[in-house]
Amino acid sequence: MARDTLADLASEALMVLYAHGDPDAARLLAQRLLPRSIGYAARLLADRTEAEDIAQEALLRLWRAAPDWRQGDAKVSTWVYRVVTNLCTDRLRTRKRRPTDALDGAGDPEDGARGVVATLIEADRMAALNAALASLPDRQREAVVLRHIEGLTNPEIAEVLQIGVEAVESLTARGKRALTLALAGHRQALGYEEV
Amino acid sequence: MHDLDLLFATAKAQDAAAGPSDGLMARVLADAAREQPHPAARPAARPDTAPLLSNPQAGFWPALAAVFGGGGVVAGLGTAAVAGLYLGFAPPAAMVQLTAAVIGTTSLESVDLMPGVDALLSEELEDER
Repeated sequence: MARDTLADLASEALMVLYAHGDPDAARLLAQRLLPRSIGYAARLLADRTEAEDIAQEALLRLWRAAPDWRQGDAKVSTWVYRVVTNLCTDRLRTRKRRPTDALDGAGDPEDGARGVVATLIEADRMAALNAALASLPDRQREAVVLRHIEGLTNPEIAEVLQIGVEAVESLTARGKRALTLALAGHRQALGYEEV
Repeated sequence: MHDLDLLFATAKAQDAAAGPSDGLMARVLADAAREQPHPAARPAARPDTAPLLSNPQAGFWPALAAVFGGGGVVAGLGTAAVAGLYLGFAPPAAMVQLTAAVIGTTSLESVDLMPGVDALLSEELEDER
């Protein structure tokens, strides 16, 4: 099938094509799913290298699931987010048993070279956000990232986390409040004016 | 916009800008190529039939059995052939009469293909009485 035509297809249709041996379907799926998987895993783990490993593993599982994939099953992106969530949960559990300095990469914004160059300020802001996200309970962090950074709807998040929509609303609300509190002390340091 | 929303927007833009490295994309595509099913490929020929047909050393009967789908079918065909041969040499009387009529050597008024049935029917009628 021509690549232009393929690019218009939903990921679910691309899965079926991949399972039937189409040579271009995998590339299009990877282009769509890999950046999201890395971004999401990096927010959960605060470590991009580990996030890349997780994303590769998640897509490997997707390729293996392709022969049994049926159009009308779960959305491919939702499925991948769910696998990434589970892989990150396992990775974080391993970290708790064997503490590493991975989260140190998130940094403390007060130690950074903030205020010198705009890019450095932005880096500090992201470091502060990552540190604040890391301080949240796992479920809250997952729900907040999926809702506010990945842009999923509440029903989609409910499917990813396999919980009810009301539970998702509760998690995102509590998570956002906790983030606001965690970041409140850094407002001036992050270069935001008081509202 | 709320500070937190600004941070989220920045994070989203950063994620969108930071695509996967070429190395990672290559590894992922290598995984995909390795795991991809190939349903268009023909399944291997059944080993119990194809070699017999293509191998002259296998002998006539195994090859014939392979053509018809097994030795049992060939045995059935053989039985039918023997039965046909027997009927040709020693046909039943009714068959001779019918054959003569069809060929035109005799005129045919009636053919008694089941000569025993009348007797059976009359016995049943007597039993009912």
